[in-house]
Amino acid sequence: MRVLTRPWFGLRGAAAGRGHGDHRLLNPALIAGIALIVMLVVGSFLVPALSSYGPRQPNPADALQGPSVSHLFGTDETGFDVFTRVWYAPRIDLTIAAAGVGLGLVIGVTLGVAAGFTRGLVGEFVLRIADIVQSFPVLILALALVALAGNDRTNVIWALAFVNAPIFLRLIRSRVLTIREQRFIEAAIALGNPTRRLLRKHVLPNALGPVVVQFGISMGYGIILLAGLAFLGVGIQVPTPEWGSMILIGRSNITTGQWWTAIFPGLFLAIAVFAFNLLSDGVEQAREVSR
Amino acid sequence: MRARRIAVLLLRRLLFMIPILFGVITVTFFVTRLAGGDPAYLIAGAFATPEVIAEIQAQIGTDKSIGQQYVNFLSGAVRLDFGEAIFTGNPVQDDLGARLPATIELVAFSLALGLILGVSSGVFAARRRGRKSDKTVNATSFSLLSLPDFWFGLILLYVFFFKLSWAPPPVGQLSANDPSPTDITGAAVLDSIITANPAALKAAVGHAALPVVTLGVLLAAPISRLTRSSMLEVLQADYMQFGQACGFPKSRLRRYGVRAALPPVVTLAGIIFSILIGGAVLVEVIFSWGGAAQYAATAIIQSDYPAIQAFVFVAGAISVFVFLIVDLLYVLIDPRVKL
Repeated sequence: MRVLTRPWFGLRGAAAGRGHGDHRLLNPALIAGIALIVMLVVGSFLVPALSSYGPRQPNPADALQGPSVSHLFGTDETGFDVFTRVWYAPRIDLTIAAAGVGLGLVIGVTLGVAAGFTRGLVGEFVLRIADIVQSFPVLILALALVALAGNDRTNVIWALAFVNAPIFLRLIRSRVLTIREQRFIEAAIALGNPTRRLLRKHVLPNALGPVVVQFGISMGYGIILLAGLAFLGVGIQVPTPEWGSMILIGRSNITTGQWWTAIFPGLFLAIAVFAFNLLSDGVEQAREVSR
Repeated sequence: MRARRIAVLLLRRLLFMIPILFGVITVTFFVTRLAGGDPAYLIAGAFATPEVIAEIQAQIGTDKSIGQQYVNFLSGAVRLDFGEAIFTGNPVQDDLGARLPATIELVAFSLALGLILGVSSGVFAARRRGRKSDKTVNATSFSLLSLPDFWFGLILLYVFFFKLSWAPPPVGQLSANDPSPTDITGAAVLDSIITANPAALKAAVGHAALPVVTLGVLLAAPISRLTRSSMLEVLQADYMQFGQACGFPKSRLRRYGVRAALPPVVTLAGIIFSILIGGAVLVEVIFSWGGAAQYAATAIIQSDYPAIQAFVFVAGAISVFVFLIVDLLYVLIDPRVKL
């Protein structure tokens, strides 16, 4: 799993190069990331609607045909139209990843704020558990969780939440530890703000910046993770129109030369991950500019 | 003096590992045991009679209370005894022990390749900061971060096996008709070297090439980016400018710079190594590598509960040990670290 560093990307120049005081929050990376995500989401509704093939409609007569005008990305061994399915997939991949990572974010942030703000023994205990959970390989942990809890989508979401929560927990806790020592918090306490309001109005908004950046990174990794699970037949099953599961179908065709059944789904998977990496890179840059 | 301090540090860290390993065992147990219901039902399948389920429960020990099961798992884990794998019938620790060297070999070679590519490209990019070559390296590494390893492996297979026929088929560490070395560790390249068998070594290296390149190239991306940023920091440091002012030759400055930039890279390499023990699953599956990770994947798909539990624990324990080694390496390569 990648951890939050300071990513740097060649596109930065145009946004960062402007004079001081020019607080442009939009940069090329951010725009490109958002554009790609919008393209995938819109396409996932538009393309299957316009396509003459359904995402779950087999057509054995046309099995394993190469890319052509009638099947832009070819067909797989059951005659599924790869183009339609590849475009349909964001509905499944992006939704599950967003649900899982989002749930992990909520759990992690809640526990992290509590652990950072109270600094008590309970917080310390939660942190140690997070440490230990993070010492397991993410893929294996997620695989074991889904396989044992039951092979379905809900459990993939829980597994994603489980592996992501510790990341957000540590991130937000370290931010909260810095923030709580600052003057404005002291002032807010002195003014008699109840703890709840203090956390919601003063601590949390100031701590959330890196969380947004990490959310992008975690989304990218979450998509790879759930596709990887599906590739092993865990979580999402064949013939769901999902990228990892499509690569599983196409895997055996690769060594006999029918490259399109696995390459196109993987390409779209990579584009989706790339989009979220760009997004988080762009948010990071925007934060630096506005600072 | 320093050597003694390092020894004390090592001892302290080893003692500190006892509670951590205890935590790893505990988390393993609760994650694998409480994720779902009784694994006996999973193993038995949907149409099993109550007698069959009871039999399986007795076999894997889930007929006892949770507390008793935890104590059993704990005492088993301490003795590295995880019971019998349901599908192979062997003791799980024997199954894993036979396959772990192959996984470690794959991970070690991949990490070595990743470090060579990553550190050299990162240093290269940092020294050419802002130029076109720097931007190219950056754009490349950023794009590589988005590639799923199992898909990248399939592309390499298509190009180098199907199209060019340079690589052997993805059938594991050796093909059936290859000269095979005497099985000592179970890692083909290592065994060939130990037994001084050049024909087997050639075959083993050929089979290892694609999986190692798959993982190594992708690993180079984060390593390159970290090396670059670390190197940039070092290049701007006062001591480097002082060295320049003293008129040190460039090659010497570069050597100092790289050495000072390396500590964070070592940490990253450690993290990658521990992640890869399990993270190599998909690449192992694609190339039928037959290592511990692939064994775990099969166990997971077959709900082989003792095998899953054992592998999760072993993977967690390995990463705890790797972090210990990283900490010690840190002290050894960076004299500025206070003990």
